[in-house]
Amino acid sequence: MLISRRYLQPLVALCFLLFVPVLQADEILDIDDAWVAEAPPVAPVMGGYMKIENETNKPISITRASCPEFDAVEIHEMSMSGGMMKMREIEKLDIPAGGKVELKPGGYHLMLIKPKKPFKKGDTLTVTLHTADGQSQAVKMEVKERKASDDHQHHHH
Amino acid sequence: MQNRTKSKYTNAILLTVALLSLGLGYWFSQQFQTQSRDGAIPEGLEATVLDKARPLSEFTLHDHDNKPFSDQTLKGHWSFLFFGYTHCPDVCPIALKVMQDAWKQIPHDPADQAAPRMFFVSVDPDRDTSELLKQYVRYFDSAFIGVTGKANEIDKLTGQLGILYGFEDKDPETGNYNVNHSAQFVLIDPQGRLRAVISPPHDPATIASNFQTIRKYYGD
Repeated sequence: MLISRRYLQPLVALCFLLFVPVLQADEILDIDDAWVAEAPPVAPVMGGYMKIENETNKPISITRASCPEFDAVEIHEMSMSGGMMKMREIEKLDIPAGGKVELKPGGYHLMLIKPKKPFKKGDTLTVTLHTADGQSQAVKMEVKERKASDDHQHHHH
Repeated sequence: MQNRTKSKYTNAILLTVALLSLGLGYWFSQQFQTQSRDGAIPEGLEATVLDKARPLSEFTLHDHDNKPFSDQTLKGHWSFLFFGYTHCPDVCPIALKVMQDAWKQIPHDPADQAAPRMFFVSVDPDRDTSELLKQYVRYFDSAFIGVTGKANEIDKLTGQLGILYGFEDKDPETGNYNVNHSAQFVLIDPQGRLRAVISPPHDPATIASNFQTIRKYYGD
């Protein structure tokens, strides 16, 4: 590269100035393995899962999720109660400072209500997570086939 | 000389008869054992097996082709039942996915009249029409059958199987509501009696092998 030394330092500084605020605005959370389970084409709802990590030193609360391709997106918690699987919409999902929360089959999940078109395995969609302090983060999710072993609660023998 | 030959033949015949009766005796005892096993349970299963299968009393629902589905429909073959609803984002599709995999591990000989059938019973008849149920269950396996009906008839069935369900309040914005429900598979024997309950977490290979153990143990 024919960039002389005297320009290099300011260039690097400029890069930082340009990108750091972008990173701060968009990547408040570190999200991995975001996927939506393929459902029968007639299914009125779909389940979405992801691993969410908060690398900041402050707790972050996700209060809402949205996706223009669905009527609504809710954050749910599953629990076994009185012999029934109970699904409950939660007000907020807290990700502790430096901690992580996993949305997985049989546990926390996103319930994507009334798809505006059928989604098949391989499709992608973007869900936006909104935090209590007014920030938001777009999460790209891939539609994947469920596996019977997705239910992590299973004890292996 | 002739006498000796004669006694040789007699011996051979006697031996054959003795072996045959031994074999027949063994066969009968096996048959008898299979028939009389009600009252005991096989070991090493991850299912709750009823030592005395419990007969079901009358109920009338309909399947996804609008054909009657009653206590009589459950006779003549083994049946798996799961209770849920199509607006279920997590528990029901997980269970049906598990059963889809288990199904591939269970032999389905067309000549086998008592081969198992899988019924997905919707406890949410207001939203789950026959057509919706049909397309929903067939996504998992073309042999799966959707069932629903009037609430009081559903309750007649769930009540005697120990299946619980309940509706949450409607969301004022979306009109959506959640249904809490039991997540176990129920196994009905070819006499139409409750034989076993398989609680979550579910594993396809375990369901397939446990079913075959139970079927072999109690017979059709």
